[in-house]
Amino acid sequence: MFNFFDDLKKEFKLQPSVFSAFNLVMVSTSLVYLEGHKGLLKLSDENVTLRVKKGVVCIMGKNLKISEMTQKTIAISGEISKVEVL
Amino acid sequence: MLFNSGCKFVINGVNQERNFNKLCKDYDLSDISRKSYTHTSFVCKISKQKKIEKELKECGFEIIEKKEFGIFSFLKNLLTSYGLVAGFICGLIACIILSGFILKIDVVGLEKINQEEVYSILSNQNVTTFCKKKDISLSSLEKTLSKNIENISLVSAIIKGNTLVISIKEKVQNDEVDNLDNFQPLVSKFDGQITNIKLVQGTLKVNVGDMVKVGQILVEPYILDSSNNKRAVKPIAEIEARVWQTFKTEHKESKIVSRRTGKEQVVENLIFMGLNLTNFHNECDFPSYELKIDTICISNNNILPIYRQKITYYEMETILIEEKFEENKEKIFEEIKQKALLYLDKCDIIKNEYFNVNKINGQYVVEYVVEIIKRID
Repeated sequence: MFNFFDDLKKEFKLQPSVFSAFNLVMVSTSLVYLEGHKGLLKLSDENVTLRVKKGVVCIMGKNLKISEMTQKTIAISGEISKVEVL
Repeated sequence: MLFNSGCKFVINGVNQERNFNKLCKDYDLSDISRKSYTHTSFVCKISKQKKIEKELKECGFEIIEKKEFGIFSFLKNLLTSYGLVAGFICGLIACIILSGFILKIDVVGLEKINQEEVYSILSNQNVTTFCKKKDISLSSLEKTLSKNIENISLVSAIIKGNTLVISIKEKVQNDEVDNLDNFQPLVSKFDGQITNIKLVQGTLKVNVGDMVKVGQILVEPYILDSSNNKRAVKPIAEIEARVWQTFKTEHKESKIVSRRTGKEQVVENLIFMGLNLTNFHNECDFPSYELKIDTICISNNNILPIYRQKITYYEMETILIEEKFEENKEKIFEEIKQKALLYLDKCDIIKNEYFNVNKINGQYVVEYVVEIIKRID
């Protein structure tokens, strides 16, 4: 799986301090890409909750599923209605 | 989907999140979808499926479904179908072995030569179906065929796959060779003057305007080549000529003719084995007569050959008929013309016609001369 943020750093020669412990990008309402997760806390059709450094990311919607999952990155697709960082 | 290979798992168990957190440390997972609280499906690489399966079992998960897809899965299934692989290998071996043999012999280009004759010569040379390719010498085979079969002008033998193709070109037998000295010259069938010549082949011996007689040679059955040698050909030409044909009739102004007066006398006899059984008077009373005899078999078999003979006598008289030529001239001309036309062909073109009248020894000799254009070859 490609690392979106690594490519971004290389392309724009950004300082590492710009990026936090985890980075999240949302593509319209159908895909959420998250880098730096620490594990899956909850998985269901309507809610995917992920643990990140110093917090939790909660993605809500319908027909949610994990398109790709590696140790550091995860891509969640479906009809996404809300993304909360707690 | 075909090239995107993978293995799909459907697992049953609790604490799925912890399981995926553990698995994703070592393996890349995709399409993780939770169907119910205990049922989850996900896809992994084919190469990692066994390790993942082992880990799932260690964690106490029940694998409900495991399905491989994609081209690698297809190839794996194919290679593990041992019967199919064995069949393929056997077929391959058979193909390799048979590729060294001749399986079919094709002989092409034959018209007059019998195919069996060619096959018999080939079998004498040990060239048959299922003989080894390397044992066949194509050049010697060509030589043998051309030597043993007459009327072959060219022969070629090639091996195409498992087929031995013998291509034969036969000699062309032309008329010039076959019928040398057998051609007859074209001769004239009529006396006349040539008006038109269309020569197709042969050597022309006459020209337009020449007078020819019956039997005279018109076209010789040969041509002269560039070396001035004679080459026999069938003479073909269309030669038209002006032909004069004469029809003659004689007319006497007075002639004596004999004709029936209308009187007749009938005598009947019974004949048995050639003997006349009746004793009637057979003599005729007419001074001049002609008779007609009818014989009928009475018994209708050969046991009693009895015949009835009926003799009819017709009285004849002799009279003098006088017909003046001048009075009957048109009628005589028309009669001789009609008779003459019967002897002409349908395609003859009448160019001219005239009558000659001569009086010889008191009788008129009428000649009808018709000038026609017709083919004389």
